[in-house]
Amino acid sequence: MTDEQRAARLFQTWLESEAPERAPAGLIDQITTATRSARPRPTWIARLEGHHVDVIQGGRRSSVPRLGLALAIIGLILAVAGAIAFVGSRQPDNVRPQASAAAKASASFVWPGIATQPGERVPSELIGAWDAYEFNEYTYFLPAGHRFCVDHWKTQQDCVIFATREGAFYRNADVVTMVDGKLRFWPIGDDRCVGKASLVTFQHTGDTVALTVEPNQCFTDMSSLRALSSPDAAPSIPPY
Amino acid sequence: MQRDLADRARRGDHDAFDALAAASIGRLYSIACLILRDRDRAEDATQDALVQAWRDIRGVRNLDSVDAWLNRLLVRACYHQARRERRRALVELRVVERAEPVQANHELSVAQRDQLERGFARLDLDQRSILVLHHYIGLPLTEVATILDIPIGTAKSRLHRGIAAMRSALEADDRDLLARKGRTA
Repeated sequence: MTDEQRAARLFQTWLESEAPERAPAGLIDQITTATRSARPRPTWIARLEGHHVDVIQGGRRSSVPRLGLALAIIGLILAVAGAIAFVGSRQPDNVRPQASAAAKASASFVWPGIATQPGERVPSELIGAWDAYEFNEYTYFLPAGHRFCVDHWKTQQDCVIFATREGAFYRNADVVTMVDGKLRFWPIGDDRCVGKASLVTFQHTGDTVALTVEPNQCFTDMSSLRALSSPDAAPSIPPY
Repeated sequence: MQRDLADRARRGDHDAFDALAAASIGRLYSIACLILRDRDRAEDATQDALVQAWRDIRGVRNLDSVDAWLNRLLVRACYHQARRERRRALVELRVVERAEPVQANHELSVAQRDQLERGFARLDLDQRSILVLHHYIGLPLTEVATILDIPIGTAKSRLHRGIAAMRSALEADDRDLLARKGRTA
């Protein structure tokens, strides 16, 4: 058992001993009295302001559109439709401009995904799944062209993904490159550092990779990595 | 069972809501006590959260996530209580009382308890919330991030820093012990 695991275990034991066994006897009565005299709010107000949580499925969030967002989208669609109708009504009937080459090209426009990040490929010694033991999770350095990087995260470069011990994959990832001998992480997905690169030095010694975040980066810290006890110790990457 | 209660409560059945609240109140009160470290304020937070739950019960879309929703309401109520307390702390001093004696736990020494208590009290509310939801309730970090409405990267960072702080507290305990042994040797 590592020091980290020992500390977590002791802390968990302490939390359990500190938590009260039950709520005070009168509390449920107070709540019953308070709620009996109140009426639930109408559904649409409750959904708009009710702090509801999305469904969690396999570590990824299946989004339920909020009413405000839905109304904003409907408003935007109506505004665009109105603008098109207005412009269309002013177009002379006898003028039918030919589609330009650029317009034809834009008809087959494909979302390019994440912009290419500067830097070289990640050293091959890092590619693979690792035990990020300080964060109690798994980290995967996937090589450029891996289907998960390409199809799910829309990048053609090396990417890093993360999974919990329970096998759930996180909603964030990083495009990772080498810049001046340092790892450059470019977060994508649900991450507070999206749009901000972080430079990290690494030192590979035996089965361990120590990762040290450079000063003044968006990342605050990273877990060191340890080789897996067996190749199938980490969860399998889901098919995409 | 809980799904059925939530469904009936959503349709206006107050008895079903009472049963739902009774089934959840122990968990919610424990979380609030651990986050706020004050039983009076924990009672207030639990009551606020469950009253809010009744007011917004009609807005629940997914009956399978009612527990997560209640946890979120409770954490928000704890933040609200803490803000209120910060304002009140300017004019009054509170005496923290323990309503029931601490249960004996042979895995922890008195010194370790003391160090953990002080280490935990030094954490901010964000770190305390995440540590309680992850290490006491046992929720996976993805769900904790959803409940706290923060990106997963932030959740990981807070958890890591929180555990590191608790580990430092325990190591300080070990250092104190060694120093005391050194003085008595």
